[in-house]
Amino acid sequence: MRWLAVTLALLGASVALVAGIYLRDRDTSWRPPERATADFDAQWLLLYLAGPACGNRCGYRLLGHPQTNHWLAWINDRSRTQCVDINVGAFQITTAHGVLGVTRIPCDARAAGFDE
Amino acid sequence: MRTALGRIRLALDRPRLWRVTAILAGLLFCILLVGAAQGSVEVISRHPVGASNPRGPSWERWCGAGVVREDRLRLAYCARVDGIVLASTRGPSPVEHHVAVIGGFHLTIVRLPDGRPAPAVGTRLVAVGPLVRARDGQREVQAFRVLHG
Repeated sequence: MRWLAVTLALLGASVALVAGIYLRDRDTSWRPPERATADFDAQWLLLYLAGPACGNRCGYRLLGHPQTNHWLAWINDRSRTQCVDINVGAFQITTAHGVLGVTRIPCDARAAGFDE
Repeated sequence: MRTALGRIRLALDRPRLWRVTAILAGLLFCILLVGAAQGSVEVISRHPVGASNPRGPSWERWCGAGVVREDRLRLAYCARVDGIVLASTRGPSPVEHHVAVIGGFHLTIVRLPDGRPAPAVGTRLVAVGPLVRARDGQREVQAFRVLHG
């Protein structure tokens, strides 16, 4: 029975080592709420589309949350209005490929029951 | 009750088996310990004052060799990660690869420069770039330069 205890202790130490390394540098707040991430992404998207000098003529609004990681947003770039589906897990803006993780959708999607 | 306990005790009474499992568990622990201990993570938290820092490490010159992504929270000016590749993923863009690297008792995500293929699992990778917070909460080095791997 002594060897069984040694086995369990060593397995426990291995699990603790792996878990410790995995959790060591992680953000303590884990992930920000999905809505906050979507809001942040929509802001960046507006900035990318309209530029920094757009002011009051531009705006955005989150419309709904049809599924995990996906948020619908309404973007108003001066007189141009568009609706998009932002995948917060894949969203990024790159110099080589532009915006990734964003799909254009018809603006009537809001009326199709996606409203929160 | 005593009989049931006795039966369990009897079933677990396998000293030779537990000796073997103890040796295997010891080996596993040693492999994990050695794997996690190798390599290193060095961090320069702030941009050094002046154009060049003579007392800085030689890899510091690669810290400004690219454009830092602004859609991630920046944790430090620059980092050099040296470790073993545990896993790799591709995407969301077709030229983008991320690898998970273990070294110096740290698990770090490295975003490789666009177009650079991911090294095989188990190979050594040394990369330099700004340190940011990845979306999954892990620390991520946006590699401006891959020095090895």
